[in-house]
Amino acid sequence: MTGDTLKAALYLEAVLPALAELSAQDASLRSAAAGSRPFAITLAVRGHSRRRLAFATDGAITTSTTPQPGDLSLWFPSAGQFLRTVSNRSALALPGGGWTQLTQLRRFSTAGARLDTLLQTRADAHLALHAWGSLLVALAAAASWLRHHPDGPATHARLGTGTVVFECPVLPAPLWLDLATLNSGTGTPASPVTVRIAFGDLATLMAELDNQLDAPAALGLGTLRITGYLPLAENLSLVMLKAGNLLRP
Amino acid sequence: MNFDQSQALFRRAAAVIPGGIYGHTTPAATVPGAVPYFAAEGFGCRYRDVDGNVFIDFMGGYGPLVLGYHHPEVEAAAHAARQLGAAFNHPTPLLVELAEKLTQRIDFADWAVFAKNGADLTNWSIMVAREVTGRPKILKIRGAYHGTAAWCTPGHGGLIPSDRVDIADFPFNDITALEALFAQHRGQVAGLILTPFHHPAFADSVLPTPEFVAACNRLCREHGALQILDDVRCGFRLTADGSHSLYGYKPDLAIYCKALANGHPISACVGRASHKAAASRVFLTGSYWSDPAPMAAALATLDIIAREQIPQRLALLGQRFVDGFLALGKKHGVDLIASGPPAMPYLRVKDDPSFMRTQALCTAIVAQGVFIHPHHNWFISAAMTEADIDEALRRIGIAFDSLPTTPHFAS
Repeated sequence: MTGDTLKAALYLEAVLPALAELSAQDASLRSAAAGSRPFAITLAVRGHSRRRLAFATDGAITTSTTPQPGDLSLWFPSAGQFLRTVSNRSALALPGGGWTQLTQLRRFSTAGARLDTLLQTRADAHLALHAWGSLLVALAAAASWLRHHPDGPATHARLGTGTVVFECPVLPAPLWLDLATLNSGTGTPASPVTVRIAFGDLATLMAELDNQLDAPAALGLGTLRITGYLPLAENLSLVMLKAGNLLRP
Repeated sequence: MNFDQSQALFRRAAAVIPGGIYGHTTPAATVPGAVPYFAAEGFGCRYRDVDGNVFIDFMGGYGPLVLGYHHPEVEAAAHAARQLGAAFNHPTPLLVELAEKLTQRIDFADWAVFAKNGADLTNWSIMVAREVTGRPKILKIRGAYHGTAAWCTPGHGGLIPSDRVDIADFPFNDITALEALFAQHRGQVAGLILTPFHHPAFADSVLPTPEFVAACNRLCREHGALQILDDVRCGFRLTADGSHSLYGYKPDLAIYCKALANGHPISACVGRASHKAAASRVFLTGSYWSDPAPMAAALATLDIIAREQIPQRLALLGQRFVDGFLALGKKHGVDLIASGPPAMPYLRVKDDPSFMRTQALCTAIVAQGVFIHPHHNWFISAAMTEADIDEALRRIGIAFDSLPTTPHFAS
């Protein structure tokens, strides 16, 4: 797998799906994604599973891997062309159908711009959402890295199974990653929790996201609490760091 | 029980020390907030933390305090040596006496060298194995702890891929995997480094099968590799003459540390005469490695261990503790698993892969003034009496009573 194909997988499986969760939390994103009628776009990249994003009239976004008839369907002949698109550069996308939906494409574009703003900037107005979104993407990206990176299977075997939950009082909801299924999500996981990582405040969480947290010190101080199987938390953080580095602008 | 002074001191520490407290004594590896962070004073099998809380100590400094804090005979020997000076230009006669003591005590040992920590000499021992054989590869048990050098550290930071290109690991007691590694690296294996039994953190201890020990002995002999026994944690605790004699290993080199001098800083590596010349070619030194006081403490400790049959005493005390602990679990409807030799037992809640219930139990026990660790094997101290064990069990019983109200225990 080349760097581009791995990065494309991270976008398809981690970044774009974040639109769904963030649309439920951010009014600006919902506003950007809203429209007069429902709209769905399916993105297909050679060598990857497809990603469908469905936009409701009120701007709520849902995501899946199953295209539906009538979707605006875009096919990218290479991971590189897809990555050009998500970085707002001109790219080759071949038509796959659903052209009557073309006028709605602006909603995908503006929602994407808002997603960029939330994930890439740190305005006080949305700092907590920035942290939550970043963690959301980081967890899904870690799962994607474990699925697709050449070292992923061996790393996954060393990590083992178990469900990791991240919490912080300022976040809209806990986030979790189930290493048995490599699924991630928000709220309460269905599987038993193996390790619970609780950040006491936003500053501690931001330091962690910036790879600037003195975690042993934070644990001693109580600004970070890890309950459960500590080695899993430690090892998962390394995978999240690797995956996150691939997504840095 | 409060830990206000510990917490206050830790806030100062976190400002000026990476991690606040680093390494194996970091509170991060225990249950932060529920345990003391800083010690003030030790006496016998108990210690007092900086808040004045007193604990019956089942960790003993993570192993060194085999005879308990302030053992009078050991302290007198160390004090007498210290009165004469420290870190001289030359070793003192104690260096020779201690080397002679170890070579008399340990059946395969023909020579001995000394350092400060176990890791000083696990690192040196693999260099000796490479010098003896002219080969690069070291085989080790997966998950075994041998120190903080790049070839073996359990940490992640600061490593580069080449640090471990000549290290291969295999699961403890897995003869097939060990045979496969020897075959895969035929003619390249310098040494096999082992702990006498497997005592990883965050897992049960595992005793060696006789077949595994025999395979280690056979494969090292057949392949001309050195067998290195990392007896740092177990040495002189399970037997008075090294743990190889208990399990049947035939080591070429063995490293001792924790129980060697009852808390005074010294480690030792012993080896066979056939490797002495090669060992002399592997440079070995440290500013304080010839310091006489720890050597005097080691001589006294070794005498006491043999004279008072300390390993037998630790085994009996440990068995009393483990049996009592398991009985308390049964009485309170909490299934427990005990592993490891009774002298260095580890107990945890059964069917608890997240360790959350074990952590909750540990928290409750520490709150009753019994210091145990939720993720690391424990150490029985010879300073304990049967009454101390029974007192600890009584307190643990109170801890069990409190469990229904302990967060995470029911989860």
